[in-house]
Amino acid sequence: MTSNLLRNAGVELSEAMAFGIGSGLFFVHLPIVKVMGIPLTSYRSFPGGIFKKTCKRLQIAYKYFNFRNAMVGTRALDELLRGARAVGVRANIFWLNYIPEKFRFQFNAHNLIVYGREASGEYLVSDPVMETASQCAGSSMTRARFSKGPLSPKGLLFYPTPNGVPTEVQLERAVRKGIRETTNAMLFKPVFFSGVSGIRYLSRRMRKWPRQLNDTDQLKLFVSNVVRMQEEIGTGGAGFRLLYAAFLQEAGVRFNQPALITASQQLTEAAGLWREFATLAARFCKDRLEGSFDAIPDLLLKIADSEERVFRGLRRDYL
Amino acid sequence: MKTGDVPQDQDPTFEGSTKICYAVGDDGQFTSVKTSGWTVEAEAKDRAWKTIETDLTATRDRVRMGAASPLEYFMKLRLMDSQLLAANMGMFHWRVKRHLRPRHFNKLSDKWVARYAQCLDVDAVQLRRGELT
Repeated sequence: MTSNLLRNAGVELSEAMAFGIGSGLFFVHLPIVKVMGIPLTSYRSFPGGIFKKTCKRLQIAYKYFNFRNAMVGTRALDELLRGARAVGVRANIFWLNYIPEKFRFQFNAHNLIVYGREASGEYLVSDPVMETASQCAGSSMTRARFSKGPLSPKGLLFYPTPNGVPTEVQLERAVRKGIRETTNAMLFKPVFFSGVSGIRYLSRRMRKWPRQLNDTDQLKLFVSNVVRMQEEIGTGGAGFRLLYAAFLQEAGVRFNQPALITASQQLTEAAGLWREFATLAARFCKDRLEGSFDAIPDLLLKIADSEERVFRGLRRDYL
Repeated sequence: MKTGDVPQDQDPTFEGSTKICYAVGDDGQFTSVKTSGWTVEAEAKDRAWKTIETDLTATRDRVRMGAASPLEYFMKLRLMDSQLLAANMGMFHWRVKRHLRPRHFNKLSDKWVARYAQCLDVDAVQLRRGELT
């Protein structure tokens, strides 16, 4: 999405590069926070962070507005659209009427792009979840933008206002900063539930689930939820790892950095392990797992080791 | 993941469209590839929805028996819990929990029912009368 907004403003940046520069890759497993009764697991940094960081690191100015009042907020969006500008919007995906039914959960931090408004009142939308451009009813958009609850969007609008195109030097610096933040987040955050430690933490928690949850159905629900966060939400597959590997490769080729290319290959292997993990989990949920349930959390430990190697390698050979 | 390995499992929830994933081509370079779905992902999503639907059916029965209020049903239909509903209504949580109980819901004024109906995007008459969808 960041990539599309920038392109609309005249700056070409691939989705992979935006993701990497904006330090989108992450991992956190936080059982204290429940989403529909299930412990929170996320494979990425907080939505919206990528746009801000990418702009900051490329020294691109941007505007960022939120509103307390739906009427004011809607008027502001309409006015920006009249100026033929594509605008980033945060909304609760549940209320967006163009999204297929099975993708609509209560989630206040969904970001999308609005690039016009028809005379009929329908908004023209480019949504990362949808393959093609869509149309959204005016009332639906307003309800989604001003939904309340945790992480409420408050009608957030944002767009870049670049003053020219970033130079190669700026790009490389931005890439370095982006990689540094991701590496630190995955290796050094002093909390046990995030980063590579977070993957190991999930493994430990998962091992206990069969005993803690009396009900097999609930166990299967918990397990399949991790898979959903990884594949349904995780753009590009394997919880964003493939997208990040694509970024590492693109940056490695562009700036002639073999360390990045090596990291890309290693991360691609880790992504393969994540996909294997998802496959095992699916087999378990269909009662077709050969062997013990523990094979699943065991694989998570292998994944943690694999990712740790990637990020330590980046620290050692690139940063 | 190699481009040849990208699953094309025709996930029905995609409603005919595809989504993008990244895979390595034969030349070793990453490229974006469209996928029509992966059974692993589809099954996980399906399980989540089945859980929701089972709960909704059970709630529907409880409303018919008078053990739950229509408010509880419509709240769950909108995938909210009492806390989220309270946040969206701008009310204290304890009050929403109270209103969820059939005895208290039935005593709510039309104005309150209309407010809940607006918040949950349901018809106020349906909500009042418990005409469940």
